[in-house]
Amino acid sequence: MKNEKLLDIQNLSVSFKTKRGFLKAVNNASLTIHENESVALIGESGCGKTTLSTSIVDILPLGAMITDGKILYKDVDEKVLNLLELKKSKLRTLLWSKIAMMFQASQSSFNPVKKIRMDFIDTVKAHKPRMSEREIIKRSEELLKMVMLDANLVLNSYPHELSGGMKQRALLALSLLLEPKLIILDEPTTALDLLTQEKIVVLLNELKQQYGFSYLFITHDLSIVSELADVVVTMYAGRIIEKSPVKEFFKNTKHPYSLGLIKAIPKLSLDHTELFSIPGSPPDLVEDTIGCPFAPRCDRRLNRCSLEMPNMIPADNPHHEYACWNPNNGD
Amino acid sequence: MGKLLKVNNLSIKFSQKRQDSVTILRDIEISLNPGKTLCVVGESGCGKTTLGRVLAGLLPYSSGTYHFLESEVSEMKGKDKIDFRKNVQLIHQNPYESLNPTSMVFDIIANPIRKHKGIKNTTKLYAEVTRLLENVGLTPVTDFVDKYPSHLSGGQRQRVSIARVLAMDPKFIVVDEATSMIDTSLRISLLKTLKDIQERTNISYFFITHDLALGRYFARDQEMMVMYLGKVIEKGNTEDFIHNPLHPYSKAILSAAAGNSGLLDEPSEFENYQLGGTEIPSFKNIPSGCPLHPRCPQKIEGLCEKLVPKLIEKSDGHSVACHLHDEQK
Ligand SMILES: Nc1ncnc2c1ncn2[C@@H]1O[C@H](COP(=O)(O)OP(=O)(O)OP(=O)(O)O)[C@@H](O)[C@H]1O
Ligand SMILES: Nc1ncnc2c1ncn2[C@@H]1O[C@H](COP(=O)(O)OP(=O)(O)OP(=O)(O)O)[C@@H](O)[C@H]1O
Ligand SMILES: [Mg+2]
Ligand SMILES: [Mg+2]
Repeated sequence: MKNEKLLDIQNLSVSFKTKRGFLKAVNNASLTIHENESVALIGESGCGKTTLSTSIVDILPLGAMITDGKILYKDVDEKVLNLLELKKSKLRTLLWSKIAMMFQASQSSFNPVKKIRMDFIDTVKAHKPRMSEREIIKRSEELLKMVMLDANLVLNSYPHELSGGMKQRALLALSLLLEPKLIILDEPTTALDLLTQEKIVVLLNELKQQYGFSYLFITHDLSIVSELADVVVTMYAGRIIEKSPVKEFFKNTKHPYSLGLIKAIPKLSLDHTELFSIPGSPPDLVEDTIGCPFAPRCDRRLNRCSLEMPNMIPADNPHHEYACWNPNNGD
Repeated sequence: MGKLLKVNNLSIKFSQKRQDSVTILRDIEISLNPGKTLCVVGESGCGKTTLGRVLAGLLPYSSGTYHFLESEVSEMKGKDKIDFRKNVQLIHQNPYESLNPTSMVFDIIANPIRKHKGIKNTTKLYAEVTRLLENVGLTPVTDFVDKYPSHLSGGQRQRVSIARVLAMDPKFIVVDEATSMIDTSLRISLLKTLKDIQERTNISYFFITHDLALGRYFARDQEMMVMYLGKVIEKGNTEDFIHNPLHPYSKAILSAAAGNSGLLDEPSEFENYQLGGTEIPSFKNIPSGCPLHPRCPQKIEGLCEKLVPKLIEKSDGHSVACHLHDEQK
């Protein structure tokens, strides 16, 4: 199975203007999503995951600037478009029909004065003007049931009458309903219990098979990563520091930061009195670092690490890349 | 030591336009001592947040009683009410709705300190705000004090919410999935911080989570409680509950948490237990008898769909509402 590239982010940098200077939220990041591939983006809170994914759909917050890079998208007719150079009107139509995003703020994404039913109809109509209201409701009901919701009740509720996880699932159903090529999911399951999560993972995997969707999803839940991702990408301080097929990532983790994230997962089967966490605090994104940004917190640090920035290099498995001078080798 | 809070037979109804009202919480009984943690788990939509909001005094209840430090909450007036408001805090599940968008991070944290602790001196305030932000890992502090919530990432908002609540030195905090948008490593260090504070100040937590392993750690030697469709179906000492779950729903969530298929899972001593059926639980259509019966693999025909099981204490402090464990039926 070698699918073609769907989205190819090349050397993307995004900065925010702040009082002390430019805060580099995304720094020279490159990332490829193939057709029918599911990519998980993980990393520390505040490391730039949301910024990276919102730059794809052109909804960066005020004050953000893309200072470098390309975002290439392969359209139906094999034409490759740089989303960053596309005319706004062309970009809009492309985004509405081909790329959908479920925001991290999903629990507040619905219009508070409208019933969910109207929100569904309006959103789908905007994306797919040819779909009739009856079709929209029928498909909504199917999808809502698949995410374990009482469809009738949810469609006839106002957002404030739903729990956090119910809103999250309703929004997920809505983005699936649009049937885009690529779905970006920013923390789609933060409010869901395990049994519901399991159902959703099954559903996402099924729909991916059935419609050939690609996913870019952001999560802090590594068990979801292990069940839903084909490829895992770790970010630290705005940079991509490891990329790997999912099995290889968990079996043969190279970057000490990725390893720290895995080590910090609490396991039910172990009786912990203390749990592991990575010491130290995240780096300053305004200051320029010469060396590896993780070096001050790293237990595998060499002299070289504070002096020279490591580039991404391939591991034994050529699909696995990492940026580290002294990677973990299982020693 | 006296009780911090005690809830008896509490229920909540939501009235709705042109529809019958729906009862969300039923027959809730809780008691909590100072310095203790009660960890709450349950299916999405089962009423955890609603119960948390009642305990935080943000939602009136329809019947039953709620005593906080010996006083009935619905009857509190004047100074008692002000004290209650200060002593009881909630960390909201959704950090995109809980922070005032027009206040800077500094004021979000300094305002409650000004108000509740009467500190007005700017240098002192600044020192206190710095300490709190460092506590939740928002460093360098100078970068965050003049930011507005819209300048923060999801996890950074959650941490500001935590710092703001800690600023008030409450006696009781409802922690509603407050670390869900934070990476595994930082999440652990935040929970350690909350536990340290508990040891120092004897604060109590109502800790809502869906991560059982995290709950086991945070509520170690304390209590865990499972809810299903608005009712408490099992409650017990954390270790006892983890190793010896009684209710079929509890067994199913523990089995899911231990995992047995994924890449991350290790062979474990936990029983593989799954619910069946395609029923979608809904408050509009609560099943007769035991609310779990349409999904329960151990349903007793002729009993479970007819009779509502009572919450019965099986062993020291470990209670369950299930006919499989009710000898008197
Ligand atoms: N409008 C803004 N102005 C200034 N800084 C900002 C702004 N928006 C975001 N940032 C900063 O950019 C960095 C990256 O934010 P981003 O939202 O991409 O993080 P994230 O990886 O999604 O984190 P989380 O997991 O907590 O959601 C953060 O340090 C944040 O404080
Ligand atoms: N104002 C309201 N009117 C009517 N129903 C409501 C209202 N608020 C909440 N509900 C219902 O109460 C139930 C419980 O909601 P609650 O937010 O307490 O769930 P939860 O256990 O916190 O779920 P989650 O894990 O998804 O956050 C839900 O079924 C919801 O639809
Ligand atoms: Mg984010
Ligand atoms: Mg909730």
